[in-house]
Amino acid sequence: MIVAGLRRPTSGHVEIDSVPVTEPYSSLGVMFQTDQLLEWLTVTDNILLQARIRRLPEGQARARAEVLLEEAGLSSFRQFFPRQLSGGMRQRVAICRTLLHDPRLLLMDEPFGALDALTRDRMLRFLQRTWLRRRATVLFVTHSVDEAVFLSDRVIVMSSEAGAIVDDVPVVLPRPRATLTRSQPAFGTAVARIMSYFENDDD
Amino acid sequence: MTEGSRRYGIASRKEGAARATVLGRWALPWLVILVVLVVWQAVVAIGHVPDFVLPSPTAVLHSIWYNQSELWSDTLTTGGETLAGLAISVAIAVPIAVGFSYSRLLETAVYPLVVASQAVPKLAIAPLFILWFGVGFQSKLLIAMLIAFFPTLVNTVAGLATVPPESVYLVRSMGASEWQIFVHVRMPYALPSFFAGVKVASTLAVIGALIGEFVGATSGLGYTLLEANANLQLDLVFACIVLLSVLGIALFYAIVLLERLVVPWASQRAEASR
Repeated sequence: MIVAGLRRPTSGHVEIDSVPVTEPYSSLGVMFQTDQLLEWLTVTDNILLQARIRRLPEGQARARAEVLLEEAGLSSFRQFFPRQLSGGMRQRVAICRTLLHDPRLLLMDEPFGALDALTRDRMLRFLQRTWLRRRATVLFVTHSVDEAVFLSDRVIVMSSEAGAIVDDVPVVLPRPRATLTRSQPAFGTAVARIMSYFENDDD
Repeated sequence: MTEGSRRYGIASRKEGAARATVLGRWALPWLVILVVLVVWQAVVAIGHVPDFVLPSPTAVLHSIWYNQSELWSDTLTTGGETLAGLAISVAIAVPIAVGFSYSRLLETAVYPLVVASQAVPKLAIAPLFILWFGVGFQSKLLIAMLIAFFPTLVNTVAGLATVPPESVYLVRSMGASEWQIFVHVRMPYALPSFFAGVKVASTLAVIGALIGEFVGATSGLGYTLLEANANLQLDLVFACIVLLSVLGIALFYAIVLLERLVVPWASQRAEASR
């Protein structure tokens, strides 16, 4: 919220490209824990909301929405309303909306937290696929260590104490990462290192 | 073919038994009304009930036909007062509701006054309005407005309060202005509640216009009803009651229709949950 420029920090400050954040960064894409689709808009219109608010040219945005929908495997659902879709599909629509204006910075706050394990795994691969094509900076908040290691180049571990950073773990694994990546030693090492900080919470 | 019947057409092919259900939904209420009317007619005929105690349905129908030109102009008068009162009440209630949703201070300051204005029985201030604004159109419109205003305000305030903060954050992260946030998020979220309020307000507006006509008027269904009652012309009294009901029902369903056009997602949701 603070990085997105939606709330002011109680102390300290945030900079993006050395510019202090006082309002939402111009090339920003935000995803929340729930998809936040507007139920009176079709899938396409929900995605185009990004363009309409930003007053981007309609034709270009429409063409781009088509491409994204194709990538998300949702082309045949473009005229559906959100309540006609499953949770995973809704979240994919939300990703398309987030990516419509090709943002340089993506902020994702546990976007897949509400999904079941298999759908979640598909979303991770989908996100990676789209990311490989665009290479934006992604700040991804999650409670899933697996998700963190699978997606990230760098995992910053925070303790339950508000705002305290306990470690900064680099993840050196080739991309694209797939299900098999999880069996590589580097994956296990990273997971173990991160998990070690939470073991002590027991006592 | 209307949008609705086409939808039902598809549904009946899909579900088979749906056609019977649809028939039931439309035909059943009319059938019940018909039975009530037949029993009423029979009781009056068999019991030899005099017209000045309880006129039969056919007598009421005859009275409507016989007095059609006078009753038509009365209906237009009362309908006009109702509609104008309702329209102005909406025009006043909505900006106040929006103001409340943006300013806690405004809400704290003005809300008690609004509630107080509702606590005053309208019947008690109706004579005052007649005194101030005359026996014509204006006083009726103001009474109708005063009654109809409250439900629209309360429901619109409630609707605006249901807007999820995350949705506002979402469009704000896109760099939306307050106006864009209102148009794209707040207003659509509040519309279903707004319409619920206007539906209640529409029936109250009819009552408001009627109160005004009872207290002092020279035309209108309420005026004719009182006069007919004094002359023991009960068939005409019932004729006025029938027309008042028709007026109220027509207004109500006109708003339902408008709602379906403006917020189709809300009525679809209601139908899906049935």
